[in-house]
Amino acid sequence: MSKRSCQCNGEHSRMFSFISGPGFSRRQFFRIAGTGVSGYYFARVLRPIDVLAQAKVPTVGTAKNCVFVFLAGAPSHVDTFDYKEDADVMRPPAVNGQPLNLMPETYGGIKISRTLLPNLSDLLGEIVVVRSVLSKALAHELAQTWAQIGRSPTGALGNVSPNIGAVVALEMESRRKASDVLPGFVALNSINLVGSGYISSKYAPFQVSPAPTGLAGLAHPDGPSRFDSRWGLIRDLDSPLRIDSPLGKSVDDMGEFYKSALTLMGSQEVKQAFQYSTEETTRYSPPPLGNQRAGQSVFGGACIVARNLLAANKGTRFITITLGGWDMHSNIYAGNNSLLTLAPSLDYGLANLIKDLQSKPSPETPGKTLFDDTLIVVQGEFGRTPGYNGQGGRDHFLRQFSLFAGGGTAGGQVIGQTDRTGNRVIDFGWHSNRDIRNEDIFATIYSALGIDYTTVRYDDPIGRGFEYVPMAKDGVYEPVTEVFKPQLPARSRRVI
Amino acid sequence: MSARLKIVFVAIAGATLGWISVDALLRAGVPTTKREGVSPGVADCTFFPGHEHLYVSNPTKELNFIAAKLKEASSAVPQRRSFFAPVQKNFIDAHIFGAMARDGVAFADLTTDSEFVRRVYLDTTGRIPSPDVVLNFLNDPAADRREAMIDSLLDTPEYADRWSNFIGDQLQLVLNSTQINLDPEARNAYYNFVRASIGQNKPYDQFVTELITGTGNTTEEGPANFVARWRQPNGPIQDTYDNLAAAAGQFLGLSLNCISCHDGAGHTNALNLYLTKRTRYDFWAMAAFFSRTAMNPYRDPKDNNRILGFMIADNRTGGYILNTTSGNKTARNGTAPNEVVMPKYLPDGSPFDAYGPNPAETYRSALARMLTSDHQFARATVNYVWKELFGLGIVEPADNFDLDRISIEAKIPEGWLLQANQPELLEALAIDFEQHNYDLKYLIGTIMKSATYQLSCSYPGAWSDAHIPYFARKFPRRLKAEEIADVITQATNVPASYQPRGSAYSKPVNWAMQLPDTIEPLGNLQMRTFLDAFLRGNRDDRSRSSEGSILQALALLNNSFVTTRIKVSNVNSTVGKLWANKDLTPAERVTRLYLATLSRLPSLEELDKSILYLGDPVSASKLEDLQFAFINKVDFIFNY
Repeated sequence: MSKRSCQCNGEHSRMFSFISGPGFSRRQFFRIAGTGVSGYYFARVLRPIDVLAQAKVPTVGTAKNCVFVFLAGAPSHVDTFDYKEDADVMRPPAVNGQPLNLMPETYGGIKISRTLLPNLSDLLGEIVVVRSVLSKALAHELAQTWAQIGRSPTGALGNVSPNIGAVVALEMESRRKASDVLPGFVALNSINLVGSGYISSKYAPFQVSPAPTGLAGLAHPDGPSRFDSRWGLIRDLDSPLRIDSPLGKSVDDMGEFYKSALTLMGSQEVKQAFQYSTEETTRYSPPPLGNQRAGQSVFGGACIVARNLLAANKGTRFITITLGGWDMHSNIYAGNNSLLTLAPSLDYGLANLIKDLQSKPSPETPGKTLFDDTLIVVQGEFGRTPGYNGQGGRDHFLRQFSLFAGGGTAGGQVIGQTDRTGNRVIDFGWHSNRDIRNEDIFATIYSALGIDYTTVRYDDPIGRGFEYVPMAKDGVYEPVTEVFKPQLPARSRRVI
Repeated sequence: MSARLKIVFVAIAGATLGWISVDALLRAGVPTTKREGVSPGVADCTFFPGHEHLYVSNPTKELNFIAAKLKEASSAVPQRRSFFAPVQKNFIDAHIFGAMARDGVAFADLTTDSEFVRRVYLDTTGRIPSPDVVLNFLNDPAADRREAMIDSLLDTPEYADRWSNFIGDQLQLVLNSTQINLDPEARNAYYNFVRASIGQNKPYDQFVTELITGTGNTTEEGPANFVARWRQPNGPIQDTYDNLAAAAGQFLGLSLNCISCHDGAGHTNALNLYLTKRTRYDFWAMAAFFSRTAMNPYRDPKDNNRILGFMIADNRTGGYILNTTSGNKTARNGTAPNEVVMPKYLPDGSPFDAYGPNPAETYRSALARMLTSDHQFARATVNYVWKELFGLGIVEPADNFDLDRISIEAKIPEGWLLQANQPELLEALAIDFEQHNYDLKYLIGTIMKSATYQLSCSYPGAWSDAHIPYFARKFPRRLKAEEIADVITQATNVPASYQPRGSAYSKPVNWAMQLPDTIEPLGNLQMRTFLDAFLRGNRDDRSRSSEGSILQALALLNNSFVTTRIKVSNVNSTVGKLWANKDLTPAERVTRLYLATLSRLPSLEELDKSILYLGDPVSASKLEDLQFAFINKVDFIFNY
């Protein structure tokens, strides 16, 4: 690379000694123009090496969208999707004076509690249940971050790694149309949300806590006409500083952010996507238990908004929905926040999301549905102990489950089988014959979306290379391809 | 508003418009406050730092005259700015301008006085200057007024708030993290220790020594929390020692985490020559300095799951044993079973001499001694502070020094270059810092008093990214989350209230910059969401970022934190008082609003536009709109 290909007038006699690699490329200047001023901005300027390396692996590419349902706090697997009835898996015989009847039913290779998950019990034909997943950490924050970035947060680039949603938004950027006004990555009801890390904040999650009335931050508190005169004034007074700013390139992106904000605020479709009715919320919510009010599920509301965003087809490609409260160290079946309330919340929200997506046609592929276009992934940060602790709850446990649905996956199968207490694996259920890790799940998601999961980006701050899936190009982690093709014979399912 | 003048009016006569001769105005009978040192024939000069403002006492009469003069000047051919050498204020400028002169790089002019006063206020205190301060400064004829302002600001409690926030980021001082949840009492003890140390300008080497060697009950002894913060539960104790070694490495600008799991060779070859030669054993030897640290938790007697604090002490025995197969790191095995690694100071391999200068030295006090006397400690610290003030370090990334490519005399292999973009400057700053007893206020003051720090954002001619490492202009940066909240509070004069956890906060604090960490105020989700939109990070696995976002735009446009504060119904607010004072002319209202919000006077064009918008008679809602618009302006959101 010639050292003379920089943009200055060439008068200086030697290239200044700050580049520790190949020389500048003109292309790099234009590529990074407009990013904010930060250490990373400069690091990108000063390290213009080839950005991408890929092993060019085949990908499945059947999904256009992904909904990642994150069960924060770590759900008990032995009570939900790896249901166990062994004597060592303890449960109270009664709750609040009533005998506890979880109505476990068996469908082929899987047992599931109809009390806890009534709707999903009938939708097993659409879901892939993966039971041989193993977390690597038992601390909530660490494992939650791990589940969002697909690598150890304490490892290299851990604290600048983007959320998988941000990477997907970046990858899908080239497919955005002029009418795509919604952010590529939306996060609903998030806890401990990882953002865009070192990549551009253009792909940062658009964070929302949905409410029936719609998106609060989109409406100006003093009304639309007041807002219009204010916005006119801002443009009038500030355009000398926003366009070709005398303060330099670094403020140019401010204009872009305000433009996008205004677009979101002005779009009727965006407004409608975030609004929903109480009738819909009731459908997406479990019936009240005890003194609870009906139709109040916050998770249900988030599922409705996710459905609306995908149906609008205006550029949102990755939605993460968080349902927290699973950290049941005490009274896992009793109390106000127990499995008896939380599991049905998950059930009613997720099942209705699946059914509604199935009823909507794919915007792009005739004959397919929005469910075919959308990969749904459901998991927490780890599992819970089969035995009780002293307070009638379950503690942290590495063994966990993961669910896949839609997006070209072959529903109606279970991958992996654990022993009688949901601890060790009897059958891993996939070709690599080992525990499935977050990294493998990430490879599966990327493959479903048609993204090369062996991609390494060399635009990170230290130039080490950010791998979409660590060590994927060496085959250490890979997609669980079995989720895309049926493994076991179809089993009986109850038809409603 | 200063009592001497009825109104202050500025004629901005920058590069594009030309200059108004003061004498011409005087001859025309326009009463002005003549600044000392303004020479006649100013139109001949290309630039005259700090003397570009004129003060007139009757704006209605002079407005037309000045407008006519400006129009006349702007129709003339703009003078090409000539290459000039500004006054070199200190040794920093000798290096910076020397490099630019050698390589023929043009540089920006010195910033104007009103830009300067806002910038230096933000960089020292995280707040903007009040209108009175701005006007007094603009009126101040003293040649050393900039230096005097810097010195006075460094002595304020707000300085201690803002730079404690900086140190808090460096130490990752936070209540809840992936490592550990500190009890609020412990977190507050830690924060108060930092705040007191910064406030009394404790020498930085002494400060770091106290952190590394801190003992006692963490809920009472602030420095003991340095160790507690890195305690790694659910794993072998060596994981904790490793965390502490990495934290110690941060003081040296070294990222040691890479070699905590594997040797450098085969991993860092393309990134860091020095680390490539280091092994995992070297890292363990560094971690061994912490291997005699006792950390005994004591729990709440009513809730066994809740750890109230730790007792930190130094054991007389113990060591770093290579016998782990679980935890956060790959297995630790030695050549012999249960091999013990002796402490060795990683940067230069010095063994720990148990009978060194002080026979009673513990492992930790030896590390503190070696680390703080290491020249690299001075280099890393001055680089962190430089980066904080300029947005770009002399070495980038600031926590990734390559010790083999730092010294000016280093032998650099083929294909590599010196890591620092200004190697001689880095050395000079480090030596100066050491010679001044690691005095942080002195360091910050020295940097701010340089002409380099005081350069404008506006660049003459076409800017090229090749000029970035020369620091040829100021790089504007977005205000931090805490600054945005506090500056909105100041500009609107509607107080805010933040309630952090813990008994130290029996009353809430009124400024976001006084929050003890970046996840407070825990009980106020709306405020947390507003602050988090500006990417203050969590001091754990998500660092602070100065990037923008759509959410920030939406926050400044629609969040009630902004929209409630600009209402005239708040009688003591800026707009409330401007509205209530019926003696003010529209020009005065506009000017005061500019001063209160943007810390500067409006340009002629801005004054015209704003007065037009306000209408006659001025309506309350238009006044509110005006301050709302200012809060969404680039020159509000950015430090420029």
